[in-house]
Amino acid sequence: MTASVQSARAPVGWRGALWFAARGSALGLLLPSALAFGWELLVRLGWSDGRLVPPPSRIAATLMALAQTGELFHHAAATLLRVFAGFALGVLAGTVIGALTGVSSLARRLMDPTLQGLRAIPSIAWVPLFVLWLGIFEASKVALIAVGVFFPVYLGVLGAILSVDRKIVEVGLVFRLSGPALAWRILLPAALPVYVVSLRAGLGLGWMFVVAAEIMGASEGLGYLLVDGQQLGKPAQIIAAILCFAVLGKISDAALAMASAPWLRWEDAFGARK
Amino acid sequence: MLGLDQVGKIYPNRVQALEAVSLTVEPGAIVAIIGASGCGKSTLLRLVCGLDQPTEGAIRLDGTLIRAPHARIGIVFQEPRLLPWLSVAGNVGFGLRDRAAGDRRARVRAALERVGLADKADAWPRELSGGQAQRVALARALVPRPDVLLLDEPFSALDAFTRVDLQEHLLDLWADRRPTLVLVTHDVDEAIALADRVVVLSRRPGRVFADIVTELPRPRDRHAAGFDVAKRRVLAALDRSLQRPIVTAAGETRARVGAALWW
Repeated sequence: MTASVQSARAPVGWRGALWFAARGSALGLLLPSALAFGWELLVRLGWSDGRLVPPPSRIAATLMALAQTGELFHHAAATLLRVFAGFALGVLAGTVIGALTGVSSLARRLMDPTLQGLRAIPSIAWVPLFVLWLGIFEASKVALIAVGVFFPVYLGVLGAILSVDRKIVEVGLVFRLSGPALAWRILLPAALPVYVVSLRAGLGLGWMFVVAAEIMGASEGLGYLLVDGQQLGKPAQIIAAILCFAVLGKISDAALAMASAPWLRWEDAFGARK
Repeated sequence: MLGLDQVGKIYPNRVQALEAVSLTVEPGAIVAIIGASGCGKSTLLRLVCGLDQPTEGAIRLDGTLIRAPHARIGIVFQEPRLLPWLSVAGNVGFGLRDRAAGDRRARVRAALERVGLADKADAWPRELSGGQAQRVALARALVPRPDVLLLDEPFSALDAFTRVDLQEHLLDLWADRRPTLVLVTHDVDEAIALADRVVVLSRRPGRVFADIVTELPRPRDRHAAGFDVAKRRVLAALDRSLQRPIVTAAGETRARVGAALWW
């Protein structure tokens, strides 16, 4: 009975979201496709040689070539794996420490000043240290991404828990919830909307730091394609790699948003309007 | 029996909200607590439901000292305070987590039918009107079958029509199992319509200023003479608790008495 009631509601869930995305993106695609078509035309007409800014057809050809040799898949998989591993570690640490400092004022007074101090350090500054500690291979890259993901998630969880409505918490107290039960049944659901936003912010930073890590020394990954394209003077390859970043970043963010949507259908906020 | 013995409350900022409040409420009685705003009415309810602890004196329910929320004591707040992430049925069943799922479902369904919202079981709280949400809050508080139900200005945020509807509905629900009701209100009509006994608190620090037994026959006719007499007694006590000058001219007196409604 519950299922039928849910499916009868307004367009929600991942199918509704997909449909909305398709309908909404038609207009959004107009500007980039017009620009791409215009540039292609200019190069075809011979008004520009398109050497530094290659036309879409040349970028597509580069992408095809990279895909056919399996290189594209290989590099994209390497990058995805790093982002995924770093994101998982950063989210885990940020959630656990954020929840701890959110619930316990002792933990907050103990740890928050240190963490805020560490947050002020630009994450890229860690790279030399991570390379010394963890070597030049995967571990140091994943660590850098995890650090980048950690801070927005930590701040999101901490802020979300601290801002939970006291009146709602009292409802839990009146029904004699305490400790883990109060956290699970009141604090977690109340903090969830802000938490999801912080996860998405963290994922965005994860993509940023994977590029930084790969530019600074990698033999595979989309970031390697960027550096390789620069050193060998292949702008089409650079733009192809950038496009891959855009597509993968967008897909991973949309997947995260869609995965969280069923848990947030109750939201009664300005942004939750359909 | 609910007993308050010389209960006092001084907040950490040294504001004395209550001073030596002693009160005994018989099982099944309906008691209204009324007083000027800031007289510690809500503080009193928070102490009885265990959300706060008295700094002096003791609160006992049948001899058990109350210092923390207790299974036999339920509360309805001024706002519905529904959990927005749970359906209406989930909210009503929130206090029944120790029960088997089947039993819980049955009791939630029965409670929702009782408050006339069976068709809203799967709705989100945001889809309810103010009156409906407060009905759900009533159902949530009543479904664990408390022996004492505290109500903290439960209908003050509702429009006049809905308020009277819900007052009658509350009496109807009360008749099922006759829990003790302790109702904090600033609405004298509401106090007279619902309660058998009206306790008037004095201004800060709150003390019991008057304890007026009305015990009008039920169901109560809000336009009957007896209702009006009881109302005048409460309003007079309220005026004295505010230390207002009593004016002798008939018209003047009525205006003064009416003014207490706004406090």
